[in-house]
Amino acid sequence: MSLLDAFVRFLPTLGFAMLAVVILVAGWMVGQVRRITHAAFFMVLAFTGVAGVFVMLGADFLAATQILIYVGAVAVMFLFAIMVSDLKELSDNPSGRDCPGGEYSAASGPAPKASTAGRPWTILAGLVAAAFAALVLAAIGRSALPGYVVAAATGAPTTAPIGRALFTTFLVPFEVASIVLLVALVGAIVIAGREGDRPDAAKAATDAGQDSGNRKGDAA
Amino acid sequence: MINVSYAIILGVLLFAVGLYGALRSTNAVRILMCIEIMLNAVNVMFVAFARLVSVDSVGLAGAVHPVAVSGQIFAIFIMAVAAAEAAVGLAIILQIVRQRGVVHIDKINLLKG
Repeated sequence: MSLLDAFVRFLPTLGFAMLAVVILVAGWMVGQVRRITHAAFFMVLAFTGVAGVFVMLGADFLAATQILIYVGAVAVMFLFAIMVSDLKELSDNPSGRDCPGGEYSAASGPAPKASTAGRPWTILAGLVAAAFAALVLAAIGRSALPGYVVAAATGAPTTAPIGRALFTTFLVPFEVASIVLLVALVGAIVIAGREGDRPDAAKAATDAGQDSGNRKGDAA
Repeated sequence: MINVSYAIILGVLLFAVGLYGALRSTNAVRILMCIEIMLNAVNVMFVAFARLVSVDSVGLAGAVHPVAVSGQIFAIFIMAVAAAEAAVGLAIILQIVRQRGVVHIDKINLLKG
């Protein structure tokens, strides 16, 4: 019976570990898969897993926001950008370092069509990331954090305190964030709506639908 | 529930994974995605530390204190900035692709001497 109790008490940690593995693998695959569309969907998987971590940490409002903003808006924006601009074809160009040269050569000899020019840079990137992780993990290990066991999440909704704090203590940052979002909205429309001077009839025909509104605005 | 330091370790590892992907890939859109992953890792750490602060300052779990949710509010602001950054970055990449036909950052070298 005590074994069962220990197992039940261990269950949240087990769930968190599985979630963490899913998140880390998905985040790893974002940088490694060959097709940019697949990378976008792995990004969606990582975002969803992070929302699950937020739930386990007792941040329910933030989990909902994560799903709405990242999965619902940012990922869809990425997919739209990929769809609109033929980035898919460009990303499948095997001459770049974007094809999975790293793990292919590590696992099964030389990669099929990967250029070897990027190998030192890949190794350097791995070294930088590993050094960063080791440094921060060592700092965490030296701190008082590992002995810190937090009590159970209460399940009380955090929406009301977040809203209250957002409109009292953090009112000015909130307004600044809204201005930042407005400027980003206008700037993104202006930048993306400008007509390119590349003589590509098919692309112009594809983009005509999105650009007609902005061109009218520019002419006026 | 779970130990908060697990979430902090997850944040560090996720940030390192995103950093590796951002440094390694040459596709501009992929770099933006990896930056989003890194911002998410920072959000995880903010929420985890918010949990520590709430336990520290309140003591009684469930009590509402302005300090208790400040880490989550920082995460919300990061989300807003990340959304703005993704929108503007994607617009710039879209324009580069439209003008020059490349998405690999090695080939975007107009300023190279």
